[in-house]
Amino acid sequence: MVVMAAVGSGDTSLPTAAMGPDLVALLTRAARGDEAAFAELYDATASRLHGLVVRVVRDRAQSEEVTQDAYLDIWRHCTRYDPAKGSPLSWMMTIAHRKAVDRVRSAEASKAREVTYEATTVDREHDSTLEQVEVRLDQQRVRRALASLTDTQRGAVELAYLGGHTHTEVAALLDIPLGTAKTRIRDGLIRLRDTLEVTA
Amino acid sequence: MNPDTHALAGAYAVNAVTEDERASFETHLEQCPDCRAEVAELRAAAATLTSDVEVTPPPALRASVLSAISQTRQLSPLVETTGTRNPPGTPEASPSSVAAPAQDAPVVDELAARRGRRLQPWLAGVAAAAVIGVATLAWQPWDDADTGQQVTATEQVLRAEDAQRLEQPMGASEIAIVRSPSMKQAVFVADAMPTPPAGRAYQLWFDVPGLGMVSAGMIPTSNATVAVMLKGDASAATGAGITLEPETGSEHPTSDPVALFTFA
Repeated sequence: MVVMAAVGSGDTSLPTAAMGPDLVALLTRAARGDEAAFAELYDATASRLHGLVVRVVRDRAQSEEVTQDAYLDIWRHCTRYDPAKGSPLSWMMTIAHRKAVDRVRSAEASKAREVTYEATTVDREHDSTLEQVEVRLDQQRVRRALASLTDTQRGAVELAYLGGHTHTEVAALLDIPLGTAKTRIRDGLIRLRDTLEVTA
Repeated sequence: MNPDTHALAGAYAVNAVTEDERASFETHLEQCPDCRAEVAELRAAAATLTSDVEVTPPPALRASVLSAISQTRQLSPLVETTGTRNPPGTPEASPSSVAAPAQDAPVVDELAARRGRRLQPWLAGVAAAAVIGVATLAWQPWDDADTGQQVTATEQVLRAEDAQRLEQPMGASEIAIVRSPSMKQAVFVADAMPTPPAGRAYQLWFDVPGLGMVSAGMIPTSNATVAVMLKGDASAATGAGITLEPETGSEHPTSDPVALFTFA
């Protein structure tokens, strides 16, 4: 999952686009209808958003539709971006994640496919085959944060966030009580937040 | 605060909730600054889970996005008296422009066209309708549930086993009607609906065979999330609609519907 097989050599830059263009300024201009600013915003964030979408949706063609859909939503809604709801990147990732999750759930509903639980080890195998995934990360930092989670917390968070499952489904997949899944997801995210010292 | 409600913040932050859980938690969020802050922080934390995964989309996608946005109207900003939600930019759109939701949704042109086609029989039915006074509201802030185990009437509908959820965009807002045939009730849920012009408010209608459009109550004007029980027998209706009416409500619709729902 997050722990990738390939390692970026010596690139210790922060994984967020924080050191790149000023996303708040771009979003502000985009909110006034500035398409060039939106293009810059796209360039600064597309690989992160698409990476997340691919991670959840898996299918490349569908992922591209979802990513496009997410950017359209971002364009429509950037007039209403509220800094209290998070940084621009966090806000955009939230939109992309919601779109991705909606896509996998609707696909699941239409196929009514049998839910067979694939262990997270399967996820890791899958990751190493994503040849187009570029790795550019502060790997130490993310590893340290993930290591701070208990195995059960990490499993629940990953199934929810990357697997696109509801907490009810996570409970079923892990064979744990409903309230427990909910708690593990929250506790895991809180631990992650506190270790990474991320701010909204 | 009910600890159970709080506990959903994590699952909500990563979209690991059902639509009904989302609706009810968002209603809770409106009243709980702690949860709002936590959700924002946990979303930022979750985003780091893929901070090492970058997949560059094909160049065609960029072209496609930029072409699409040039044909897509942006939503009007939320203009609030409290000033707590200022967007980063303040586009020149006037506050009153938010009252034209149909223009807000160019990406659903097809849907708008369908609504338009449905409009004629809808209004024809209205003329024959013998209706009904102003309905009372059954709007329950979720905080009511915090003091005890009781579940509000709206929550019961949202949680009903046979609940059907019909969603559509209205301007920037997502609006939905959740209907439980077994409970014969329906709940309207929305967040941040476009502010109606002064002196006017949104009114809900049931489309009842033989009666036409029957008032189902007023929607409280609010920038926040609203959940309103529709007044009347939801199992007898084949659809529902929303119109802009004088604040005191109308006996029958006096304007074109701003939204229409067809029940399955």
